[in-house]
Amino acid sequence: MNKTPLTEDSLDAMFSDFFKAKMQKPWPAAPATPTVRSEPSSLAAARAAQTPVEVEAPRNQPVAASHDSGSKARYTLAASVALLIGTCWTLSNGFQPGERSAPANGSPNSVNMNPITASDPAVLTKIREENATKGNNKNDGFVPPVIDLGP
Amino acid sequence: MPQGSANTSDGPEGSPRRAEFEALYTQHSREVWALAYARWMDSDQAMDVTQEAFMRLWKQWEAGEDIQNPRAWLLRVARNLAEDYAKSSFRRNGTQPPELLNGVRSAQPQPIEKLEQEELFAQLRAVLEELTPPDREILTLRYALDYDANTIAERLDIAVTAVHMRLSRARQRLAEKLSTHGDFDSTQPGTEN
Repeated sequence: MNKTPLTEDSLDAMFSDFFKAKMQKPWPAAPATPTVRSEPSSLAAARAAQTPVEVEAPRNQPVAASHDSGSKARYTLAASVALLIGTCWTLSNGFQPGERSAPANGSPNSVNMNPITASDPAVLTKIREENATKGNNKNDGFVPPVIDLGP
Repeated sequence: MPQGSANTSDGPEGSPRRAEFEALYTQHSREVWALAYARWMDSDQAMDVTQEAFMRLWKQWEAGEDIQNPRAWLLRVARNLAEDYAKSSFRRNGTQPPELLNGVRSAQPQPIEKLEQEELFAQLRAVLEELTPPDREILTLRYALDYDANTIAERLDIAVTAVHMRLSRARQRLAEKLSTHGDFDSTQPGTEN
């Protein structure tokens, strides 16, 4: 049986063949890099904001809610809160005394209480004079008792 | 295995940084592969480690990190990745490496030369697995990348005499292995020139 002589060169050749066979041919290219940053991130973000990318929703899925519906809901909530606060403020101290309406049954003292002239001294003087000449009907039907104090 | 092309994501003109990245890949990727291959004797896994190491380098650049010595950085990352591979569940519980699957015979007849080469490579692999990872690293740099002893000593920061000694020891073990198998006549090869 013939044996192949093992020389230094043959061993070198074996090792070389072995290791080179393990290396891929052709040698793979450099891995793909996800992003390239050739400018500051702030500039890249600003540029991306100016050119929004339209992404189409998948055909078999419902279209996602738009951005307007979110802002509309926020506006509705803000309006509701404002209305609630305004109502509370109106009911608590929003009324001014001069703006209060007259009672419906109309008491005698409230006849001349015109909101415009109620605090006018000339009008008040005139009312008093009329009451003095015509008599005040406020005490009609009432006779004050006479008290005899004796001699 | 992740493999990319130069212009996959950069657009047609690319960028200076991408060009620098590809230059580094061209310059150091084979050495990184050799280091990873010497650790586990798995060429595909070594390529995965190589690509992952370069991807991490790119991410470091993206994060604004300044790497003073990319080659040393890449080799260190590749070494750590190769060590982590040993701890992974795939390594412990995964499928057999492709080299072991080579023993599965195809239904189609194969050329005699190819069968002989596969048998020889299996013996070589058995010999290499008996060596320590540093010795395998020297052999990989010597025979896969055709580095001479001086270059290997410089790259690994060891003495040139140590490179010669390890290469000689590897050759002698291989000769013994092959001679005991019966197909070769061992003539006790000398030391590295």
